[in-house]
Amino acid sequence: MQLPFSLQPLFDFLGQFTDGPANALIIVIALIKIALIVGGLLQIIPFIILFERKIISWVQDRPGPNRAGPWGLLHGILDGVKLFFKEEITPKGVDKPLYLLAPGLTVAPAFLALCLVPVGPIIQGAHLDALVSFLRLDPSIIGPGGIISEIPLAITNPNIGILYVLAVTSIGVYGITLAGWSSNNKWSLLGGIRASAQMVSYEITLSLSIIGVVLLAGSLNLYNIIDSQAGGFWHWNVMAQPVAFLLFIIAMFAETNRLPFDLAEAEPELTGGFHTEYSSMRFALFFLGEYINMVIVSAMCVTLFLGGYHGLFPLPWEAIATWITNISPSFAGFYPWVIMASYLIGPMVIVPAKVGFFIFLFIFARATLPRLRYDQLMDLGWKRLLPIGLINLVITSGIIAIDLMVTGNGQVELATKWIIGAITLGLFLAWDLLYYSPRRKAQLEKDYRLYPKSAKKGEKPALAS
Amino acid sequence: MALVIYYVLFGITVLFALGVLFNRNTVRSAICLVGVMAALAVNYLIMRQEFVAFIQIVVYTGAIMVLFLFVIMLLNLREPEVMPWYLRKARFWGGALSLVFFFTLALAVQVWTVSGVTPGAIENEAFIKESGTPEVILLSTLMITKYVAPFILTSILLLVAVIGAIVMAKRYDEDGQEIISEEEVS
Amino acid sequence: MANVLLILPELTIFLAAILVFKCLILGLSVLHVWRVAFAGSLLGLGACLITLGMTGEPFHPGIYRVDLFSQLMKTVIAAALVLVLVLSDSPPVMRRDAWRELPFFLLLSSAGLMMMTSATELITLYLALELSAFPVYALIVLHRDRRMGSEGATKYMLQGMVASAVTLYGMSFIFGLSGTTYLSEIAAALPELGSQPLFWVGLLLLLAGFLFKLALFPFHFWAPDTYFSSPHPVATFIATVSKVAAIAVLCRMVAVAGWNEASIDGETLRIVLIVLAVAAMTLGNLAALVQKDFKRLLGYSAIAHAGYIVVALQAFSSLGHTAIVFYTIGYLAMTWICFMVACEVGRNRDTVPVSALAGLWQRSPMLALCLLIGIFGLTGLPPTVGFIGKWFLFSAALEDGQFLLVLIAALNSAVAVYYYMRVLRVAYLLEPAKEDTGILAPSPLVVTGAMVACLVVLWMGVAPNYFWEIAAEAIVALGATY
Repeated sequence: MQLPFSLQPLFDFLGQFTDGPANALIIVIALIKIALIVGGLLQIIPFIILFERKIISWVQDRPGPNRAGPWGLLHGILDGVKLFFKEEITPKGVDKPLYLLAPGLTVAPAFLALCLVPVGPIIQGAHLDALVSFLRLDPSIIGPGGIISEIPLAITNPNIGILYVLAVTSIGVYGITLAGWSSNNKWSLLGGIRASAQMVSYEITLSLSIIGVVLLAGSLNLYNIIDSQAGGFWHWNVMAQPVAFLLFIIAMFAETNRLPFDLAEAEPELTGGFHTEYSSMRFALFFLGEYINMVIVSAMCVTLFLGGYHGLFPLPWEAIATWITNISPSFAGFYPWVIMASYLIGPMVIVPAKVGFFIFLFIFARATLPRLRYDQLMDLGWKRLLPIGLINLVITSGIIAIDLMVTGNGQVELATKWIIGAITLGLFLAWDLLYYSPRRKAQLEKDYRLYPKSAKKGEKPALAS
Repeated sequence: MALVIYYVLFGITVLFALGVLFNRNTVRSAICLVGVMAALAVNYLIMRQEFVAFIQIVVYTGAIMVLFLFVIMLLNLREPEVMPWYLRKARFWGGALSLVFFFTLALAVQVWTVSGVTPGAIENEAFIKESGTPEVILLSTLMITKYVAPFILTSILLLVAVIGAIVMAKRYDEDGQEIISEEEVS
Repeated sequence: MANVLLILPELTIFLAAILVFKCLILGLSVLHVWRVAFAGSLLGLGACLITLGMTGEPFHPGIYRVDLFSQLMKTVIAAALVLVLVLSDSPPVMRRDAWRELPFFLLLSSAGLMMMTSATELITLYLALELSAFPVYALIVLHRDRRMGSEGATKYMLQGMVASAVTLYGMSFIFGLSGTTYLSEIAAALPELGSQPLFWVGLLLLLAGFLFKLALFPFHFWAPDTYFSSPHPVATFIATVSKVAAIAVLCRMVAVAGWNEASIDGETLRIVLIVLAVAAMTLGNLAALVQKDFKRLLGYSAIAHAGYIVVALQAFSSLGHTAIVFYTIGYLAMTWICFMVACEVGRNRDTVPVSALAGLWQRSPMLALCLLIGIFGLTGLPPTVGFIGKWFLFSAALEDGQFLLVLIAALNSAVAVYYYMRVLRVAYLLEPAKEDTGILAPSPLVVTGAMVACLVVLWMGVAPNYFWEIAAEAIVALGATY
């Protein structure tokens, strides 16, 4: 199967400007991937917002947005349009350069982190060869052994992948902090200061929970991390690092400033927090940044703990394709389509499904959980999550070290993963159920003078002392 | 092409650094410092030290400078209205001295002849290219062999800094009494 | 195992610090914490004496060198630490809640100083410098008078940070030129590097952090202020223990850069050192003339003494280095004696003005005698090490043909007699002020320490050969490395 015309002359022509056709090809491939991933995400975000409003309305037992379009589908888009056409107001007394810079600083890191999300496997080897012959390109430029020997289905794939994500998301805090400060409004300032302290604190937990995964994979590269989880859900890192998974989820809520950790924009206290003084598109940028960040941390969680683009069960795509071809000669043309499906099922089905689950988790938490108090937030971050993360890391690295010493093949065995998971989860549950929770409960009852359980219905209970 | 990028980058770095010095507003100064850190990270990136570059961003841009900003915002520093007497001429003399130092350095660099000594970093990069070992592994190997003493010392140093900060910030003495300084009383 | 034995002194001090930390967490009383720390420092001194004859490299070769020079310096540091700890048992001049932390920070800082004497790799050297400085920054703040403590700490810390930043800047030049942070490799590349002006700029910048610790001329501003506004035991620590390590590092760096025949441009370094020495001596002595506070006076005297030491350092000869090592031991004992008197007299005072010493001979004859010996030593009068030590320092410079420099130094010593004698005049000839006529009774431990220190001052002054020989051997060991 081939295209009716060759694309090679196009790249030869572009190559005149870019120091060779290979560079032109690299740029074109990158642009296509950016257009698909970023563009696709931007289209989806209004619907995520609609989804959020719908779910919250169901939890609160009301119909929710249902005016624009069938099932209220156009609400998100109309919101965007409304924000776009509103008047931009710059209040008096703001620090203008920083005021203008802040929304950009929120959105830009979010988009930068998007570059790394692996939505599908790397196209290489015979499949790449097939693609090259389909596009009728010069195999010395692209193809196995050519200048471009692989095409990962992520915008880029640097060696230090996970570090890049951490670095870029850590910049995002500036947007909120500066927005709070430059607005020249005390509520905004409080929101900004809360955000900076909160995000720096929880970044430590986030990093600690990631290190265990990096140790298991033996690499910082996101594709290597996903490959180490290949072969069914029992290989996923969530089996080896259940405690780190929980920590990651908690830290992820804090990093995106979502409820129950949205102290930076706590409406009842700060009238809207850091974005009080923003309107129109600038406000929309904060909103956009928040939602992209949600998608990114969810995608990172999927990549690190839930096997990325791998499905629940490994499917032998090559065997299926061969089997279909063997049923009848007329099915021979299906072979490349099945292979293509094996590549597209990740970006089209598996990753959206997994990410969607986390988005739902975000929304459901918002609908059901109350906001933490600031001291509780810091207490949780520094006194609970940080020690748990450290102990988890010590146990994990110890067992991995023993495993590597015994087998000596530089890879962590499946059984070892399960042992790590069992030990860490067991210790965590034992600590929580036997030690922490009873004491915490007693303390809470003492602090807040909760009604004792023995109080009967209808009678005014005596306060517990 | 690479040379142009270098010069643009150096220009940006210097501009940000000057911004740190000449901004009257402390928050803007701090933001310029963030810019310097980020520009340095890009510098490492151009030298193909990806790990160092992103660690630079994570540590300096993402953590230390955020705490800087946090403290500055809490203190709510304003420009002092009256310059103390000992600072009246400080700007002039400070500027003059740094100019002298700059020209001394420039002179020293100008007469500098490239020596035959191979800098270690170049050796390392050649090693990475030949063996295909990821940079992270090479760095960590160096850290526990050739630079083991600094590695240990750093951890002790951080511990000391943490304990020192806690002791200084302590507000309650042995008996649980709050320590009140004199200015707070008055 | 042999490697562990080589780093035994540092290890002992670190372990003692960790033990003290454990005691802090367990909430032991001040006395217990102090006892643990004191026992730890004594063990550290013992460990130094055990390792005195050893030579070797405990880590990757080239990072960390253990030889007679480093071990001698470590012994001196450990001994001085013991002496400082004697003074730091719950000093009333510090915040009460910080009494228990005081020994912990002193131990950690000393461990850093010990590592400085052995470090032969630039990053290790820098980190050890910082490790020795951080605890002291924290300690100064813990003054009873918060404002005074914060002022002293701010002055010390800001200048210390700038100095160590400059050091790091210099190191970056040297690393950029040579591609290595190992002193041995730098020394090997010196014939080539020595002709690069940039290397000498880098070296000078590198030395800044250590000259700061020594309080030499352009980095001296902190010394009087910090001595004045730190709690007395902490000031003692800064004035004695931390000087030793700075001197050790300076000796090592100069031995690397200056002793090498191939380095023609070593002259640049020498000229700079001469200028700094002259400025430091003159400034220190002249400013000390008008001081009213005893600790501030000692601060300016320390600046002058830094100048005297650099007079010998610029000779770039093993004789000069031997004189420095010899004088350092004596200087440490003399300074400690003076600060001991300040601690005892100012036990319940925030500051120690010279007038507080009035009538000391009535209040405590023992302290007065100690003050006499210490001040005689600092002045450089004959039966003490001050005289013979300065003699060695100046003769090393004379050997090198620096007649004019020695003349300036001698003139400076003559000027110094005035303010030192003024202290003695107040202590011996004036009646005590009305409000402090009470008898001063130092604890037995302090008396023992004072006796040991006085003995060292007099013994080294009368019969210097034993100490001189050890110093000479240590310098031979230092020179053998490069």
